[in-house]
Amino acid sequence: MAHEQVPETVKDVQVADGTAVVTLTGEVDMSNSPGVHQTLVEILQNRPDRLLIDLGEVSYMDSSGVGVLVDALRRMRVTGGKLGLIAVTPRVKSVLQITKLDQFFEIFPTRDEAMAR
Amino acid sequence: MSKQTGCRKRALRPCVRLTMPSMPRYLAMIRAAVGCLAGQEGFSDETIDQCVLATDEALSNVIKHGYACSPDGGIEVILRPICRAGRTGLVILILDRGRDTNPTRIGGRDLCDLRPGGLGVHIIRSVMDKVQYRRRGGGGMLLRMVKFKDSASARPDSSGSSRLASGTN
Repeated sequence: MAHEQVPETVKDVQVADGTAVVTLTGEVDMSNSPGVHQTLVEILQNRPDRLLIDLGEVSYMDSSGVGVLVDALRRMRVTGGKLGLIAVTPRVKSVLQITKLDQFFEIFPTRDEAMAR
Repeated sequence: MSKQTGCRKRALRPCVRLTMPSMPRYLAMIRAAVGCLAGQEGFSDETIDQCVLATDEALSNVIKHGYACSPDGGIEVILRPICRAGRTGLVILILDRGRDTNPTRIGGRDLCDLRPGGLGVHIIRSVMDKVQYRRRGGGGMLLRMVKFKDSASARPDSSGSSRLASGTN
């Protein structure tokens, strides 16, 4: 899959057997969340059954980053797919909790556990 | 000599003034400055995170709504440590010259909706102890936020069990 101008925040994208795994890294804020969003939209155009987003290396995320996750979740629901978050750091989890969005996401401690489902 | 209560009474504390263009790429620099100052004032990791997040959300709102994402605007951030009735805190002022709005109409949205956007004000009000929006004479808005050092958790009425977690900044 070709991604033009993939932002540095998107460290890695792997797609296999209907599952897309996206690894994000660093700080996700208003400056780079549009790029992350564009990358996810491109991935979802291929209608994967599952989208897993690894947040283990994300040290900071504001509401614009959370909004990207929410939009991806909504798109996955439309196509009947599932979205899971992997290794959510305490800081990011706190933002999800404050906004009460943690209840909508399936969260896995590790990638192995997410892949085993 | 009067008894001191944790910090100097009405001590005049110096402030830090920062200015940034209305461009998201500068958010990280302001976040770093806020985190650094709050750390120097002895705030816990949790309260530092809260100050940083609230400032980021406020600045993002100014860029998005005040300046409609135009990069030509200017935003001033003033950080002033305070001591009130023995409580140490940090005042964070955000000043802009963008489009102003009625302060009474600035509020968070219904969190039951699963949709992106509109979360910034809710986050700010949840993690800060005092939040006040004002119109500025001559145009633009002023946001005054206060966080006290001994106030660690997000407001239960806004966020249930939510807390910003400890961590390095």
